[in-house]
Amino acid sequence: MLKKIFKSIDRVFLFVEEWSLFAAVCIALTTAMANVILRKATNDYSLYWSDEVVRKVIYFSTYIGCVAAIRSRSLIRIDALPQMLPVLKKPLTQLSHFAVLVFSCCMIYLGSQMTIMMYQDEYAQSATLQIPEWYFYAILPLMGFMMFIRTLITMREDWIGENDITGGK
Amino acid sequence: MENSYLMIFALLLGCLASTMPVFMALFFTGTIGLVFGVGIDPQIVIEVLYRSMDKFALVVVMFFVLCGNIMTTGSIVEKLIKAANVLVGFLPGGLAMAGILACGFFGAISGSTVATVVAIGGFMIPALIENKYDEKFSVGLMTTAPILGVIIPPSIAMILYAMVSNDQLEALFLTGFIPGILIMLAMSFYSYYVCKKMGMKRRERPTLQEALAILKESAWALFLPVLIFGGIYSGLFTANEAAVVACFYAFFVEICIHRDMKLIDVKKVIVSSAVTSATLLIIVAGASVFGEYLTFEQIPGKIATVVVENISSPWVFLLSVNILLLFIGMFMDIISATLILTPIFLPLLSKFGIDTMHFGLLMTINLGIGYCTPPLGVSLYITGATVDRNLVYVSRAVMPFLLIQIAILMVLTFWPGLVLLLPRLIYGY
Repeated sequence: MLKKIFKSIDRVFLFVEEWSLFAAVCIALTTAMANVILRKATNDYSLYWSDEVVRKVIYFSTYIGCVAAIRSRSLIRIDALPQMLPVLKKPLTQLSHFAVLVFSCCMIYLGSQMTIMMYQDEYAQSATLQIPEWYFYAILPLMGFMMFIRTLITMREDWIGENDITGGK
Repeated sequence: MENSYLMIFALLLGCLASTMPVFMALFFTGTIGLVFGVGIDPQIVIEVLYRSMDKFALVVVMFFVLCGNIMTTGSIVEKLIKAANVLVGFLPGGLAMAGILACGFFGAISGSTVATVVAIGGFMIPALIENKYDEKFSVGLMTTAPILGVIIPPSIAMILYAMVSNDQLEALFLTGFIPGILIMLAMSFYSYYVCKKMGMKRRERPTLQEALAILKESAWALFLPVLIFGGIYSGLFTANEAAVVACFYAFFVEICIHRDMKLIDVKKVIVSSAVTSATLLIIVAGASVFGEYLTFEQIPGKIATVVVENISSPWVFLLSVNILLLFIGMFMDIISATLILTPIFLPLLSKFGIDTMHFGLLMTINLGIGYCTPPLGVSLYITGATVDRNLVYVSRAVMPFLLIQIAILMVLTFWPGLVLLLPRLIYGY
């Protein structure tokens, strides 16, 4: 039962992560390229909002990409100690998972507070596109939530010695 | 008060050693320092996390990672190796030199050592062994030559260093060319010497037609570094724009010219690049929180005062830093080390009158060498897995090449004029 629930959550998260990252990077790449072409071709015309779009995409893709990195276990860490003392590998992995859970809770709690604060401030908008800033702050608690669930799934996989519940690597 | 600094640094080391993700170790220690040491509202860390990622300069990292991934998914890497082989493959030790040159070409497009080890090493080590090169020599060469990936620009480590030090990125990139070429030459001479001594057979020199045919086939791939550097240094593009243009060019070449990438692969490449760049950039966010703590407590300035009281010569300082960084490079990846250590070293540089760009280059080379230094350099494990050999074997294999690289590092340490030659010539720096 638990496996089924985790599998469904994992699939939904995977879909959201992959397509949102793909769309965000495509938008940034196209916008930045269009800006380069316009600047070189017309000399005096450029997309004034292009830099902001690219900056926000980097922000979004970094935090959401991090959730995807939990799944692929590709977050950068220093694994010198377990390499020297393999017996420590399992407890250290669990400790590391626990740290991710604590971090996720910090993001959910502090991020939500900040998002609410920004939501209440009607003047908190991005500089050029005038997008309310709370949209961007809301990514942090969202990341925290997704990270928390993903880490639970990863912990379960480690616990039962399964690599990936969806069958991937 | 000093005890609290030591506790925070001990906590950071403990978190890093416990295999916690690097950015979280930085986040936790920075937050604990800010909340309990400085006594400020924990909400500030959210603000720091937001602002640290809201920087246009980071676009270079993301798009050069994407460019590297496009190359490894398609056939640009294979074409670069073919071109390198036709240029130097017929010399004694030619295939080894081709491997070094291919690392140089790849380094001129990608910005990472690990990517270069995987992309070039995975291809060249079996090719060298097949062509009767000594296995130990082949493993040593292809474990250490990929350092060119971080030295020859664009280099992700240099991009992040420039962001912290406020150096002009295009000028900092220029410091990497001469050291990169020196390392290529020195390693090529050593390969020539070893292969001549072992009486290795030379490969047949390709005919002019054959050479031209291969160069023609590889022309689109070879034009990529020309586009990046020609664009940047002719003033046509900024480094940010060059990264964007390089991605479009690489996609165009792989999909329309080489036809080695299908449209369906585009999504896979983009998503995996976004995840890879996220794993790098998130460390910037963690380092920003930790950096905020350092700034509030004015720790870099305090460390600078202590160091200056005990070391008077800039050369002794640089030598000590080299040893320290070589050691740190064995344990810590280049991105984390650059982001954690640069703010600490920067105030010291002005006190000793050391140029920040010279130091940036030295830091990059030191940490790059650390990648292939036993017992924990990541490259050792990657090539060890490629040839199914243990760490001791790979560690012995890399020794002569490491000595060459360290010798060049020493020359560059004590000859800043050589490192800064190109920035001075081009930017009047």
